[in-house]
Amino acid sequence: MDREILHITVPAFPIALARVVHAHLRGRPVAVAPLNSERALLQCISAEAEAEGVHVGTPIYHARRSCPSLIVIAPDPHLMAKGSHALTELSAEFTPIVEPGAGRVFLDVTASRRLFGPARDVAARMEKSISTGLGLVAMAGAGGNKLVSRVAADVMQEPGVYDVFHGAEKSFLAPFPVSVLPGVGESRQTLLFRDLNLQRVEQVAALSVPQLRLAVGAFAPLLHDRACGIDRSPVQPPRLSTEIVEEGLLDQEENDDAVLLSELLRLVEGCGLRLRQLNKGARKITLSVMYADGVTQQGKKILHSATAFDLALMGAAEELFFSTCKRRQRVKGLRLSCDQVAGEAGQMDLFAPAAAEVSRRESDLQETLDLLREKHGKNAVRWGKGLAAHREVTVASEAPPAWDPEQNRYMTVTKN
Amino acid sequence: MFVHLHVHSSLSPGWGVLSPEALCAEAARLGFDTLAVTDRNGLYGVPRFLDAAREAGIAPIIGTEAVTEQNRAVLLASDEEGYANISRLLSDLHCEKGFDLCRALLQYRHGVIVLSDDARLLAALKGAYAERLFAELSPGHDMHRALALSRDLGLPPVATARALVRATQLEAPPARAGGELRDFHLHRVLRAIHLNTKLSRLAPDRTASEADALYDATQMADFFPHCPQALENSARIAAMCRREWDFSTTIFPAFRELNNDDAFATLKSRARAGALWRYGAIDEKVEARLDKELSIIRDKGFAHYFLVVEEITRQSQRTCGRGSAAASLVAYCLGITHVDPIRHNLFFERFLNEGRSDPPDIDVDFPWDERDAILDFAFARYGARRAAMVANQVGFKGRSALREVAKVYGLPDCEIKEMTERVSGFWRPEQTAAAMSEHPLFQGESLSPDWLEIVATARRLNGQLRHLSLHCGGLIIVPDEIRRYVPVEISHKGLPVIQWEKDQAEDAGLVKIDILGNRSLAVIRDAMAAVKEQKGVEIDYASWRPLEDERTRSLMRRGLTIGCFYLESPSVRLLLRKIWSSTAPPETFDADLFEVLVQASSIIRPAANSFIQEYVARMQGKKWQHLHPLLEGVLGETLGIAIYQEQITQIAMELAGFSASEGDQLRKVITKKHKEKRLADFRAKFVAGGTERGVSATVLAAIWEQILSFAGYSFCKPHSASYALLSAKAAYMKANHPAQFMAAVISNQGGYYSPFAYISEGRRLGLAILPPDINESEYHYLGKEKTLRIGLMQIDGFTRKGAKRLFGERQEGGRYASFADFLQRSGVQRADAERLVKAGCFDALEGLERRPALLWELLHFQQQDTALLFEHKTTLPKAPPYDADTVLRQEVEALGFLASRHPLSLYKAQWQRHRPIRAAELIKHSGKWVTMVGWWITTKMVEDKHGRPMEFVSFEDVTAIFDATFFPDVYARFCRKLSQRRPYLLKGVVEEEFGVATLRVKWVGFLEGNG
Repeated sequence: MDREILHITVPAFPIALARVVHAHLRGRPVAVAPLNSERALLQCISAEAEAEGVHVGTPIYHARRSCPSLIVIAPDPHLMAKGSHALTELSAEFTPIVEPGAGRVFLDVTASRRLFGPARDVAARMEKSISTGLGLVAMAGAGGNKLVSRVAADVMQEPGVYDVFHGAEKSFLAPFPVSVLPGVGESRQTLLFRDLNLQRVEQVAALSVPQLRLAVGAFAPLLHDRACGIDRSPVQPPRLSTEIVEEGLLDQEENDDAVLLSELLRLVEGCGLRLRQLNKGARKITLSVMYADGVTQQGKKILHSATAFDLALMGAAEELFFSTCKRRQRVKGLRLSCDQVAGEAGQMDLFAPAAAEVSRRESDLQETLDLLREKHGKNAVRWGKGLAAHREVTVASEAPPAWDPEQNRYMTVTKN
Repeated sequence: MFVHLHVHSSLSPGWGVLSPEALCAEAARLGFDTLAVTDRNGLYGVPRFLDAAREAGIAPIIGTEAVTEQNRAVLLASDEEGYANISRLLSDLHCEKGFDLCRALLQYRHGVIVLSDDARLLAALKGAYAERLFAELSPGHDMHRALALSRDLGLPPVATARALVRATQLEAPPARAGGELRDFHLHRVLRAIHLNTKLSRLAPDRTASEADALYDATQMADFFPHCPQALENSARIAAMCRREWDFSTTIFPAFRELNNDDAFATLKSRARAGALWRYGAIDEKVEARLDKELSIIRDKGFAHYFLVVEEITRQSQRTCGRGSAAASLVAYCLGITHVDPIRHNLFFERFLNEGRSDPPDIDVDFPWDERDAILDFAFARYGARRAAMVANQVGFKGRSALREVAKVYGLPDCEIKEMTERVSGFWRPEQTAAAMSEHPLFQGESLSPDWLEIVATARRLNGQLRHLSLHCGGLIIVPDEIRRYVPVEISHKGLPVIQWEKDQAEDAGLVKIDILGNRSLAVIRDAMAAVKEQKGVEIDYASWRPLEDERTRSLMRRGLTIGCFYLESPSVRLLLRKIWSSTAPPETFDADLFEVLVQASSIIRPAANSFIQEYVARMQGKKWQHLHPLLEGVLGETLGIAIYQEQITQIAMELAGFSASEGDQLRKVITKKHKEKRLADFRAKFVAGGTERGVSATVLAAIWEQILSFAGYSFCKPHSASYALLSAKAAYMKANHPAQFMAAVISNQGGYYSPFAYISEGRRLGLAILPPDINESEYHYLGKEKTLRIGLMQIDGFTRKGAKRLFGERQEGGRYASFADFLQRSGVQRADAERLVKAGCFDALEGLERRPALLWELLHFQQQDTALLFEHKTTLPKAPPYDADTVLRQEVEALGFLASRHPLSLYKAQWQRHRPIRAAELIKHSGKWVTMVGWWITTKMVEDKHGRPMEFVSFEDVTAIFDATFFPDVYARFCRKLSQRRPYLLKGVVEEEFGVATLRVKWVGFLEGNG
């Protein structure tokens, strides 16, 4: 039976989301890039920026040269996660087979035809609910496979549905530039194809596999298939994970370790509590540090034995923090995830060193704390470490010296 | 009874806070008469400290704190031998791997007093020699353990404070110290910068203790009620140390182990031989001048120095001795300099005179690509034992201070950049702080508390040493052992470098030879070689008189000097054009061209615009008189305007009765360092002296203003003359052999303009620009007859290795017959071959339309090379040729610019609609409102007299380069658009001045898309 795949995309998703939150970004050229250096590459650009000659993948300073009014914002993983989640949730109303991506979602609606009608109807309803529910503009494409539906959605200039009929895949793709084919989008391949003067998909489809192999090597048969509109890949829903995740954004970006550690303690307590409620322990903890400039660093640590106690977790997390958070840059948020969550009766490793006996007193303490907090609220009892530390502040009350233009009269600034 | 024996100044790298001057002043205020400065692992500030101590009336003790991973000790010099030993020890510490302080101290123990609380070190040293060895007791540093150690080992204890900060600040409440930022906070910030960490992660053992302060004697006594002898011992040690240091003796290099008399005799005979070579015969004038110079050289013991410089200079065929040394006839005769000082009236006294106590230095330029070899020669000749390079002591300037502190505070780079890009690199941190509160660039912005704190911290970073770097050319050679005089470190490049920068080295009597790289010498060298090879014309470099050539003279008078050393910039070219413009009377053309060139190249300096105007007017015959008759003798040759540096001295002498040395000091103060405090004194003296001689106050003020305009930079006449000669040589090459000259200019890179601008200039000179070609091109550009062939060096990303293979094979096996032949023979990597194809190197062989087909061939060749078993023969697809846009884009990608045509020509259809005037005819539209098209060439940003930024931009259209001015109001409107490399559409008014037209821009737009 022919598949019916639907693709919904929100163009420049991170920017579209940011524009929902920050009105001043609307209608202006915007780009997303980590702000740690002027050489950082643009990850996403708005249509206004594209019109000014800015491209994804160029360094910030380069882009500013052709578009001086470009607003560059740091990637916001938190907002992205929220947006993606909302998108996936909307899709789940129509089919359980949903594959989310960054601002994109594939739906396999082959089996829900009876329920919701053809793919294009589903698409229209989704676009509407995205627009009313999220305030975003989405485009939709429908077709017999993921490749075609994606290309169809990307073609759309404004909201609507592009439905590619079965059997018309090859001729549909023919006039498109080669860069729509997955695997050619990377800049290296694009450049090669440009140099070989292969501009449209039909030109690639016309080459034989051995000819194509000269250019792209082992990727040739697959690329040939794709150029002919053949794509057998299934829509893959994300796998469920057993991770327990706590995430925290600081009120104010900060690089003082004391402040960061107190925030980390809060996350550890959150994770610990959830683990204990499940009556399980974690063996692996992962800490992501999100810096103010959009860079994220991640560190992992495997514990000797699964644990759910705050003190043990905090010890490990603290160590992990010092080995992970190595930049001077201010931190925007922390994310702690506890993985390899195992029930206490899990199978034990034959040759593992004897796990340190959890002392009775430690578990009693934890139990008591949990009880107290349950009864009197989260903040009834707190670790001293967790009290919000204050950054050392040096009060500078010196009056600024007077500006004396005389001193600078004979100095010039030259730039290239 | 206490003396501070362990004190850190701001020259302890990444550690110290207070300058030697501040420390000495503070110590004097606290009532001390003796002070030691012991910087970490170095004698970085000794000459400065000695100066500061003399000023403050303090007896200086020289020492250091040697710190390694394992050990720590304070070393003080009890005599000169001790100083030499400390210096040697520190050199070993920096230069030797596996350095062990204990072992080194056993070796260099003579004359050195050691204070330490390091048990292992004390025990090891005591075993060998227990004299002059003390246990160091400092408050806040495990004093009890140190005291126990002293008792156990039977060593006398000594009290130190490890002083770093001012003690007065400690009494203030913790958060603030008298409204002033705490020294200790600054120390922590410095440590964080040094260790690349943040304040909250700075381990206490990596910083000093907060109690390490410069206490007064009573406060110190309070720390040692249990051990008064520790205090007494400090005074005892101070008495043991040498406290009169004199570094003023000049230390000259020694030439080939000759004694002074032999060296002088050698110099004399060489100078006379040289005079014969230069002049043919020695006439009276030359004789007299030679005698005079030689006698001063003999008296000052300068003969060795001359001989050493001569020997180094001889290593290259083309050099340019510059600086004040060009005033010396001896240097001219030895071939160190090339301007005839007699003919051009250069005063020897500017270089060397009886009264001058500091050693003058000789600067010599070498072709940039030969400089390293020259240094190698010098080090091979004199060895690292006797020779070393001068250092730059890298500290903080306005911009770096702000940036580094902000990084410690963890701010994102873009936020930092947003602030720092408005800060001039010239500003000192103090000025930056002022600017951020008052400068128009920062107006209407309130700084966040974070930034306020950062600015408050950054403004205190003033002169704190971060690290050493290599001075670009200063070489020091001593007769015996360099490490005796100053500690030596090893630079990144592997050259030995002393711990002092040029001023301190000079203060300590070390004479430096400046060996600098100069691209223009290489340009002239390469152009001459090409001319010789192609035309068989050889020019004798030594006797070459370029200005006797009429074409050269005409070229310079018309300001067509793009590519000519020193005269390239738009401002100089504009000046040259103005001087000899259509409004100039015939007399202007009679003036000695060389003299005018020297003056013109010297007068161009920032903010000298009004003087330049006046100068041009007077050159063109405007009536003028001296501001005061006394100036006649000084400013006569420069039309009554102060142009040369030495004229400051002469004016002060004539007008205000300064002595020669005072005048020289005034010159130094204005043009060099530490000026604020002393300038006011000089001004008072100047006014007083002038008034005494009956000069009116207004005249004095006007002259003082002229003198001050030298602040930015200025040159002495001999220096400018040396460079003017070099400029003239370049101009000669350009006027007579334009193709070879332009090829050499672009090939040597690093000119004032981009290769694109030079290629445009070549086109204006009537040269045909030829594309790179696999058989015709060399690696560098090739100028031949009326053509300029682009070299393969211009191809972006083309590797040196690929070039080597390509040219090697072409030389051996002859020209490449086809692309296939090239692939077979050259063995060039795929990426390189691809770049060659795209740059059009095979267009002549295979045709432009076959470029994509060649790339298929390349892929096929590569596959066969790696031999996949089953796919030996694949029929290659028929590739259609590129369209015109792709070809142009490939050209820009491969070369970095459009060479086959002027980029503006692509927009022709569009700009014709606007009816722009041609740049070559700008003058015809003087005073009118016009439209022009332009391609951006170069820019210079300046500030007007109110401190508002404005910009001078040079554009070119297809006919000529023209200068456009963006005055502050227009600049403010369009500045954000100005650096884009797009075709400009400009509207404005043509302004004429001295017969030369410029465009005063009123509106800026762009041409869109291809026409």
